[in-house]
Amino acid sequence: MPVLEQARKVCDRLLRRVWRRRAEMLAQEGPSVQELRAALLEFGQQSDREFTAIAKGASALLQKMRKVAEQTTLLDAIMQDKDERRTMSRAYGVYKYSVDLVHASMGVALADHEKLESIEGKLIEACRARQDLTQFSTLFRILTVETRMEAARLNAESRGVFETVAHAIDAMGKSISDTATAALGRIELVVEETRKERAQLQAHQLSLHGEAQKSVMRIRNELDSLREALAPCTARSQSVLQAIESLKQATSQAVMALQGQDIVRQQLEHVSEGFGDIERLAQDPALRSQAARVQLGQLNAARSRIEGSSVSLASALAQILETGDQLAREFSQMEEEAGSALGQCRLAQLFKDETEKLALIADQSEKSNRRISELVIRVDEVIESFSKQVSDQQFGVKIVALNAQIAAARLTEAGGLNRLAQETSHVSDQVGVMTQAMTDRLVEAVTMLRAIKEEADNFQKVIVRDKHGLEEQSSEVNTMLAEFLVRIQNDATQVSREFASMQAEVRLVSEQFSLESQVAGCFDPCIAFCEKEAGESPADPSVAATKYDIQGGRYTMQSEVEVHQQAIGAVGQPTQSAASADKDIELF
Amino acid sequence: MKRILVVDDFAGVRLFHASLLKGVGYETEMASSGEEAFRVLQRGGFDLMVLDLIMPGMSGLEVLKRVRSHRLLERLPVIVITSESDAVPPGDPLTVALVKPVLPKQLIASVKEFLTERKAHAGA
Repeated sequence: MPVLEQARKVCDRLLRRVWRRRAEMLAQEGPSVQELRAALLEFGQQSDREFTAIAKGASALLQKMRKVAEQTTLLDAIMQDKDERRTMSRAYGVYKYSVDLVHASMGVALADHEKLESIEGKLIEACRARQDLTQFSTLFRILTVETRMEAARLNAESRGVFETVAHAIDAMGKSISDTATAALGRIELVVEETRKERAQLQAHQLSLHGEAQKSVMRIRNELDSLREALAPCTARSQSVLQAIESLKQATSQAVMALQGQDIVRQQLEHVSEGFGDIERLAQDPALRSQAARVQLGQLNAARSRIEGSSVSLASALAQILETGDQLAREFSQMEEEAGSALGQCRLAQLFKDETEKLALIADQSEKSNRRISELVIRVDEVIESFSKQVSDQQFGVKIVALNAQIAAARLTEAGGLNRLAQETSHVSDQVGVMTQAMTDRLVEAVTMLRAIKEEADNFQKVIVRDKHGLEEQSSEVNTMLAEFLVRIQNDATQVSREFASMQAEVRLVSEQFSLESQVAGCFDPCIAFCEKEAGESPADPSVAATKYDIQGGRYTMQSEVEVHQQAIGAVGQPTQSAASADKDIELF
Repeated sequence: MKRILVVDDFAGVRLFHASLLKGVGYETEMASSGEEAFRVLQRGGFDLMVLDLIMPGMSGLEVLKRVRSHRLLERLPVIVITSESDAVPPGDPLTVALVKPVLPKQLIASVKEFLTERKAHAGA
């Protein structure tokens, strides 16, 4: 069949001329295939840049949101007493410390006053026992009179001795009585004086303790008010954290949109390659049309994906921005509430007042202790002097009595005088016993006073130490609260400001984000070209398909799709458009 | 002689209560924490405990719970000293709460009342 063969060759030559001419005409009619390819690649890169800019902005904004959340968590931790330093617990601890200090100080002061009152009573009682000495004074006087009467019966020579004895007994008796009256009277006066001072001191101390107690209550009320004022911040903090939590979906949506854009970019690279093949297939119209049909399908799919991703990204960003606005509002409110609560908090001043009051109380306790010391010293002095004097006087009476006995023994008619002398000695012994008993009671009272003083001194040391402890702790808490306030005023405010600035920047980028015209500018001519090429020759699936099968391994999106699917799967559920990427994208 | 355990983390209060009760004829021992108090109580021999409620570590409330659930200590009378009037759960006849500041006479009267009642019950 050479004729037929010749005819076929001529027809082929003619067809090739027609297609060449057609290609030339096409080149004259619209953008060239090269231009279309360049447009596809350029779109891919441009969309990459746009999406990346949005993604960077959103990412930076989310970072700032996390900083806001950190600040929120920090503020909330302090309010809920979960911060590292347990600020609120420490503050309540100092309040409790104050309560204990006032309680101990007041209790000790009251107890001491009661004990002192009791001892003062004992001292007064001991002093009043001097009344009993008057009976001895009377006895001595009786003895004196009787001695004089007995002496009167003696001769003048013998009488003289006994007159002297009588005089001595009288004098001694008066002296003992006077000494006791003076000494014990002095003790009574001292005790009365001390009692009056102590009563004043006690009244003053009670008043100070009352004031201190009121101060402590004020501290408690202030702490409770602070806690109450900070309470709404916890709800705001929860709101902030929930808002950030709710962004997971938007974040996931944004990531998937970015993935979608990346798939489109790669897809368009393959379409561009496909266009190159279309250009090279000028001699095979059926194949060329089939290739164009395939690329048309890819272009439509890519367009749909990029438009969907744009909308999705814009929507995600809008949600992020809206959440950002909500966050900014809540955080700002929280800052204001916390700042106001702390700014108005008078704890520092109240703690200072409390420690000043306790210092005054400690001073009063110190004064009280000194009074006890003075009382002890003065009473001690009197007791010592009294007991020595009485002892000397008593001894003197005994000597006189003894002399009288000796003198009476020499005289046969002085039996009565002898008896009187013995009686005098006996009375003197009784005076000795009584004054010793009195002295013992006084000494016992003074010993008790010393014990109280010692105990009071020990308490004073403990309370002064505890007072210093309170000063240190309250100073520490005041510093912590002040730092908290500064943190709110400086750090939180700065975070708030930076966040607002970032929000504004991202909002601007978001407003400028629009791929509509670019999509139209790129896809419309490419789609028009493909539609035109596809329409040149009817689809011949059997012929084209056979030829395409050989090319089937080229330009598949399988590996790219798998990579994207993995990435999408790590963020969240794949969207419909991603699911459609499961299938191999046949380019031609 | 009746023996009383005084428990308070604050040294001044501990000293004050012990001294006060010693002054009216009771034997006293002191503990500065909830853990120490519970350890000392288990040695036995106490007729009453004066207990501060708020303490670091094991609180007074925790000590009270342990005492009430301990076979040998459940009947121990406890006087709780607190700054919070409603901190002690009601309904325990062996626990009395006194609110700070407690006057010396108040504490002594409460102790005497508890120990006298116990004596009366023991006698009966």
